[in-house]
Amino acid sequence: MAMNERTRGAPLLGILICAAAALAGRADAQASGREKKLPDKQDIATESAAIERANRLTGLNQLTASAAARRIVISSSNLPFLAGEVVGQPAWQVDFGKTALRLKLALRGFQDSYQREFRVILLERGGQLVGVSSRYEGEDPDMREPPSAESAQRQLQGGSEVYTGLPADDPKIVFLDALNVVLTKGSGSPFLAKVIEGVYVMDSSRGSPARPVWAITLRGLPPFSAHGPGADSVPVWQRNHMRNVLDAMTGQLLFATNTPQPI
Amino acid sequence: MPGCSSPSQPSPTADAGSPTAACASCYVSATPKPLNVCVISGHGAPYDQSTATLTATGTPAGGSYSWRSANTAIATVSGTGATGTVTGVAKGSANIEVTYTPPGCGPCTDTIPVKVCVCARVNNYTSYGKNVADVNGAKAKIKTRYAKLCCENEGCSKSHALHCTYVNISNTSGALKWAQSGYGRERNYGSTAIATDLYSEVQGDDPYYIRKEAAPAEGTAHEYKIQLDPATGQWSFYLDGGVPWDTHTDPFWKGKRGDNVQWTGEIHNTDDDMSGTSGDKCNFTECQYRVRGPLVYKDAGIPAGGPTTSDGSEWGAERVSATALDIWDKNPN
Repeated sequence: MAMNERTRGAPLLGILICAAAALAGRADAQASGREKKLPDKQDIATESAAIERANRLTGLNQLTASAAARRIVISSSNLPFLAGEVVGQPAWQVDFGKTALRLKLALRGFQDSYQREFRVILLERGGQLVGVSSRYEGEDPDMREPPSAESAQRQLQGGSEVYTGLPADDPKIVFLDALNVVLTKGSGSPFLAKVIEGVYVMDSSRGSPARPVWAITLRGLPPFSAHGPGADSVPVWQRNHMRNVLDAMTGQLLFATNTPQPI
Repeated sequence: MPGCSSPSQPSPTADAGSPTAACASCYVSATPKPLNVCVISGHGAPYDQSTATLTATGTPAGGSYSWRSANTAIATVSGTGATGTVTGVAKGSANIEVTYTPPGCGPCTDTIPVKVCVCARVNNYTSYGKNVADVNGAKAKIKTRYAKLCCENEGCSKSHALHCTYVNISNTSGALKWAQSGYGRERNYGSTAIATDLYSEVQGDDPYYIRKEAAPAEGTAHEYKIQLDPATGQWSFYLDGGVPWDTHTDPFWKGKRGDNVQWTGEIHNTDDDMSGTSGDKCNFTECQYRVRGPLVYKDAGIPAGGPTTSDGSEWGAERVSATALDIWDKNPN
């Protein structure tokens, strides 16, 4: 979610949005033909409802009780395939207080390498999750900005992968538990990633029926190694990020890839 | 064994951690015990390291400590106070001894077993490869033989380590480009965790590409096939035939083909283990490749003496037939 807004050296939200303006109070949501309001979901009307919804989808309240919500309009997004559906939508931005990551499957006593501030974006109409991302305030020249929605979409299409929409049902595996799956079965450790980004989307790969997945991108990882005789010639910026995709209903890790990546 | 001893009155019956009758007031113990020392080199900061620390506690207080290595070819130790810095020299085992001399009492000693492991970053290969003009497909059935990584047993390294076994096509006409698929076992930088995977990989003009999926089971054999469509630059990766489990398109490969094909085992540290052991080797069978023209695969044609290895004292490579070879590690961890 590349945003217009930047922090020192890193996008605030790799996968998300930009708040064009914070809206005071409860503004009426603008009906849009692009909206996919879900009948079994409730609109988010208040700050407390936004925080409750963010907690339910992410479990981030297990890390910190500090959270604040404000209404925004999504002005830009780099969510492949779906950016056009979320841009212009009224939404809630929930910011969690600075915290270290704690995962229940981590080794006892293991400490997060970074202090993180997670931001969650929820559509006001229907309360669907647009994305969750952590902020990194340091400098890392090898951690390049994530690709635009258009570039990411081309890259995923090159691998016959499509995000077909935002899921109708809530995930059975919340974001924090999805990070546990990545930690124990995935590629790259969330504890070592400078930035953690997650989207909850319907994903279809190689023509398979779309299913709800967590696509969790770890950026700013210690570089993994390429294989083969030219392994050492591959630049670090191409080897320090990984996207883990897991079934959001079962927790099964489906695959991991360094695509999409900065171009 | 921590305890106390007097030069003139050794105390062979002293219990671990208990003072002896010979010198009841002197006691020393050092931790951790045993001590693992990871010697990491060639990985750069912050991963390179060669030392580990021992901390001794002696009673009664106010005494002096001295440290000694029983085998300086494996590990040395320095330190005049309660902290001993152990430096790994070479892979192996050694004992470190700390001697504590309190005021008014004879010295007592503790012995700490030390195990040194080494992760020295250098790629090594065990392989059969051949230069083939216009190669656009390669395959083999490979037995899954996961191997230990350097310092895995000791658990003290967060440096990168990898062994992988694969089919590869390269283009060496300029900067090296390649595509490959196989299985591997890997420890990423910054973690002691180790993962196994089935993977595909392409290096071309776009950024390096890798994809990992569920790993094949130990001991099973699978056909890995990689195939290029030069019309589009798309690589297709197959596991046991059928439809490709992955594809990736890179502009470099459009209109191009490879000029080298390999069936390879690879490691990234000298003490990573290669796939296979002498008692259960990693078998490559049905090694074949495809070139421009009729879309048929031809035998690899492995000649006697064809398979090679970076160091014959460490890793084995032998021809089994014109389409089969075995590889293995001669000194597994």
